[in-house]
Amino acid sequence: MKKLTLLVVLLGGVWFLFRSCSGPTEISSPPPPAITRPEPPKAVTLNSVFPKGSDEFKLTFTQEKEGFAQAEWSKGSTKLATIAITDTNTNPSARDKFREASKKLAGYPAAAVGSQGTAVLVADRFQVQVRSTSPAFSAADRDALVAKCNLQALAGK
Amino acid sequence: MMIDQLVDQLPTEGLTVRALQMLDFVAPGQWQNITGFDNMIRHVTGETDPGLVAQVRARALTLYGDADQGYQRAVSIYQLVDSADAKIGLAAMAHKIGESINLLSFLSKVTPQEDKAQTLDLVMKAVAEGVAFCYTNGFPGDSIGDFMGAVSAYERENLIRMSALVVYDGLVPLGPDYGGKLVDALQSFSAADIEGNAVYQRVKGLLPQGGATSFVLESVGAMQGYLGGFAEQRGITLDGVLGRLSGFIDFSESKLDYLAAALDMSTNYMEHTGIQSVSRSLIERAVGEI
Repeated sequence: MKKLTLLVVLLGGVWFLFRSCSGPTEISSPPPPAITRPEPPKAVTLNSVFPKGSDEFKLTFTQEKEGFAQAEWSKGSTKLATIAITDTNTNPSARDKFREASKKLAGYPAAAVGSQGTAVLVADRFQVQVRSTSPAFSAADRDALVAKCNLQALAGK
Repeated sequence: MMIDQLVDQLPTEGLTVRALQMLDFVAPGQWQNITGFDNMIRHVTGETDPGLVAQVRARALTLYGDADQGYQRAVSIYQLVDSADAKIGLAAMAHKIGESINLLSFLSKVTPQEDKAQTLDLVMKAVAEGVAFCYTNGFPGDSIGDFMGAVSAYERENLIRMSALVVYDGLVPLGPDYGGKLVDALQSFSAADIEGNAVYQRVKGLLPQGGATSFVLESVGAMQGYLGGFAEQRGITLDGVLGRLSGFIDFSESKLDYLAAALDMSTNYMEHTGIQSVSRSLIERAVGEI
C-alpha cells in the first residue's frame, strides 16, 4: 500500500511537471540553430516503432525530442541495449554509411556504428540503431532486436 | 561554456566528490565520477575508436549548441541551484585523503537556516531537478506510465544526485522526520516564502510559467510524498549517514544544522552530477543519431 501511495503521488507530481515543461517558456531564443528541422514526424509515431516488452524483456522510454526517440531494452535488472530512432533529415550525414551497405536486416540496408551498434535505414530517412550496453548482448542479438522493431511503420511515413 | 569544457573541468577529488562517494552505499558502484568529455563518450558508448569518438563529440556539441534542444537550459538549472561559496574555505580542506576536516574552525562562517527555510531549499532543488530532467530528456513515451518508467529508472548520476539531495538537504539538517516537516511546511508555504528563497531567486527565470510561485506551490504538494519516502525506501538512515560522514569530517552531532549549512556552502553536488547526467543523455543521443 505504501508503494502504491508513493506511485500515485509521484504520478501526479511528474504529470504536473510535464504539463509545465511542455508549455512555452519565457526565455528568448538564441540565433537559429545549426541543425535542420524539416518537418520531423511527431514523437508518438517514432515510439510506435519500438518493440513491445514481454514477461522476459522490458522496454523503458528514456529520451524523446523532436525527430528522436530512445528507449532501453532490459531483462530483469540487466540493461541489454538502447534503441534509438532518428529522423536523419536532422542529420543527413548519417545516411552516408548505408550507401555502400551490402548487408540487409528485415529488408533494409544495415550498417555498423562502431563496435557496439547496428543500424538500418528505412525509407531513406529514418535510422533505427540498436547499441549493446551489456557484454552479453552480441551483434547477433542486435540484429534480432532491430528486426523486432516495427520498421514498416516508418516505411509509410 | 560548452558541455565538453564543463565535463573536462569536473574535479576528480575534493569535498563534493567525497560527499558523493559517501553515498555509494545507496546504490553500490553505480556512480563513477567520470570526468573529461571524451572519457565520458568512451564510457557511455563503449567505443574507443578515435574517429568514432570524434564523430560523437561533434554531433553532441552541435546538439548542445542548439539552445532549443534543452540541454543548455538543464545545465544552467543545475549550476544555478547550487549555492556553493568557496569563500568559507571548507572545500579547500577536503583534498587530503585519509585526513578528517575539522568543522569547528568554520562554525563562525556558517549561518544555519531555520527548518522552514531549509525545507523550502529542499523543495526548490527537487522542483529544479524535475524541470531539468524534462529539459534534458523531454517527455519519454506516450503516457504517464511511460514517463514514470524513465523517472523511476533513475540510476548512476541521477540516483546519486537525488540521494545527495535527500541526505544533505533533508535528512542531515531536518532529521529523520524531514518528510513530516515537508508536510507541515506545505501547509504553511506562501508566495512570499518562495519569493524570499535564494534558490528560487536563482532559478526562477528558467522554470516553466516564468517561475510563477503557483507553479512551485503546486510542485511542492506533488513531490512531497516522493521526497519524504525516498530515504526509507532505500534504507538510508541518519545514523548511517553520520557514521559515514565522520570518516572524513569532524563535527558535533548537536550541531547538525551547522554541518548541513557548511556542506551546502562548500559542495556543488547538483551542478557536478547534473553536468554528468546531461552529458550522458546528450552523448547517448549523439551516438544514436550518427
